[in-house]
Amino acid sequence: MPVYQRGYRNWEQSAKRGAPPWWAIARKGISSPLGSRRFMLLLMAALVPAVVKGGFLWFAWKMGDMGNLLTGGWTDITAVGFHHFLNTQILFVAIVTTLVGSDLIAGDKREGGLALYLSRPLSVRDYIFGKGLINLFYYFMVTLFPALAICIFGYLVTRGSTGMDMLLLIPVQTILYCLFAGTVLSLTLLAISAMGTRKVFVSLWWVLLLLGTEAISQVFFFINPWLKVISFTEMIHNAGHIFYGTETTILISPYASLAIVTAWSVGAILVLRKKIQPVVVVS
Amino acid sequence: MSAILKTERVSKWFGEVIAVNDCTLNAGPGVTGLLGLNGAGKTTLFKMLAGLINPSQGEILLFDRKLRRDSEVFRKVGFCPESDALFDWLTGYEFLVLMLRLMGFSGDELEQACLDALATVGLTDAADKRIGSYSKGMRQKIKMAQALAHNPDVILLDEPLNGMDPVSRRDIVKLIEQLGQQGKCVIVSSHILPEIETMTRNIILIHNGKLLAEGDVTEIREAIDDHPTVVAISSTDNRKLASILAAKELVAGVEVDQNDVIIRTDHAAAFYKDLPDWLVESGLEVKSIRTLDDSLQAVFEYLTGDHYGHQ
Repeated sequence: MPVYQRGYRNWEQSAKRGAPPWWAIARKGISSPLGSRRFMLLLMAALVPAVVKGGFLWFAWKMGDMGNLLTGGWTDITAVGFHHFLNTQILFVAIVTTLVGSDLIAGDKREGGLALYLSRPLSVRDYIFGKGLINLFYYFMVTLFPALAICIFGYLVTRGSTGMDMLLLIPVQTILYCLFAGTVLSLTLLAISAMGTRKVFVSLWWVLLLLGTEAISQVFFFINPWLKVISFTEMIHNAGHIFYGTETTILISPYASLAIVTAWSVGAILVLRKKIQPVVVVS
Repeated sequence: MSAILKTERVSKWFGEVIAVNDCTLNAGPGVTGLLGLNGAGKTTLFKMLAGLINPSQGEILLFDRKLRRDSEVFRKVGFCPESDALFDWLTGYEFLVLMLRLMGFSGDELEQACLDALATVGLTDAADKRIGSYSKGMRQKIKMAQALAHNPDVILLDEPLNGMDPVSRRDIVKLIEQLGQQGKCVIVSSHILPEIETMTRNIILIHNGKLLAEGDVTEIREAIDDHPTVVAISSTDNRKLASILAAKELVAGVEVDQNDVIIRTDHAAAFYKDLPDWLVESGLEVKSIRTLDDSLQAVFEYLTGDHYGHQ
């Protein structure tokens, strides 16, 4: 009797349900770069500003007003200081996210990996979430984690004189801001990565967006201060004033910046929805 | 036959191009071959079966559950894509670990499933090498391994023998046969008909987006009315037999070679019905009767209008 007429024998999958599929993607994407010694050195270099800030903090505490004069704004442990510190990390954010994130979707599209992922119990949403977490984790590595370390260090150095601000308020503000900024950056990088298949192409556009728009806005700022609006990072930073409760230093309102950045994110989601197809149809 | 994978009047179009047109088929336990020329719609149909693209119309059901709307049913599916859908920077083992984690495997079971899959396709020794360094045949094997590792009920293999050396090819054919014998629903896509013949006689033929036929190759032959057939008959006097048969209306052509009379007919069913009477009338002793083109290739060529090399 032919095999196909023998009737079906069911095989129940014995595997216990492990972690959700998006975690499998995120875990692999997070652990893979850590195997590179050069990348680890880069991550350590990204911690240097935090170490310097911590050192100056200790120095200023020991030296009193003299110390503050010597270290300038580095010893600022108010909300403004932390907001500023996160902004100064942008160069490391650009380098680390370019290395980690530019090939996340472009690579899968190039190698046809989307078909492998999406023929499994995994939705496009899971896929994007898993990939997005990779970007978010490395953004946190160079911004949130060092900032939180400074908070703890600052509290210890000042022997608690900063009170709940340093122990609770600033960490919560920093976490919320980093979640906001990290999500926007992550979605935007994924969208750019989904638009191409070449890592170089994605990297160039990403660096242009992060650093190029800022440089252009700096140049034209003197012509028209409103042109700050073209700076992607400035808009994120400006929206951050809402989280830290601080005053903006540019003409654009933080809420306007928040709206612009939200629009960026919605655009990125639309691009991802359109571009992430398991099968590329060549007409 | 109990159908595991069903399509119900499935169509898929891209703009004005209809890739798959009103296709209804059932695939049950065992190996089923999906055959079609390039551009026939075979790949589109296959990708719809794998849940990678949604049909424009109709439904695809796996265990009576809608495929795309229920991502959980993908736990029961193993898909081996045609393209080199691999991550060259991972080792074979790491690749399988990632694929199995997506399926919900973890811990010891994950490791065991990886090792079993690698052993099944004969890649245990190459498990720790990067996929980028694999040969074409090894890449095909690791793709097979990821399709089988989670012990799926339905296995979709798109051109699985591409680029394999003869020994690997034999091993994989054997493996596919075994999977079918275990009762798994294995669908193998290929454009090389003899390749499919080595694995199964249960085929689905597709051409220009339309399903031409589904079932056993001989059943398909029987289902075709008035199809051209080439028959070789060996008798004690082939020239006499040729002259007798040439006079028959049902015979379209006769040739005599060293051992046989080669007869071509366009009405196979009627020909086979009358042939015994003609042979008795001839008074000749018949040594053998063989159908020369009872292969998938012949069926396919007839069905697609390319019989005897003519469109």
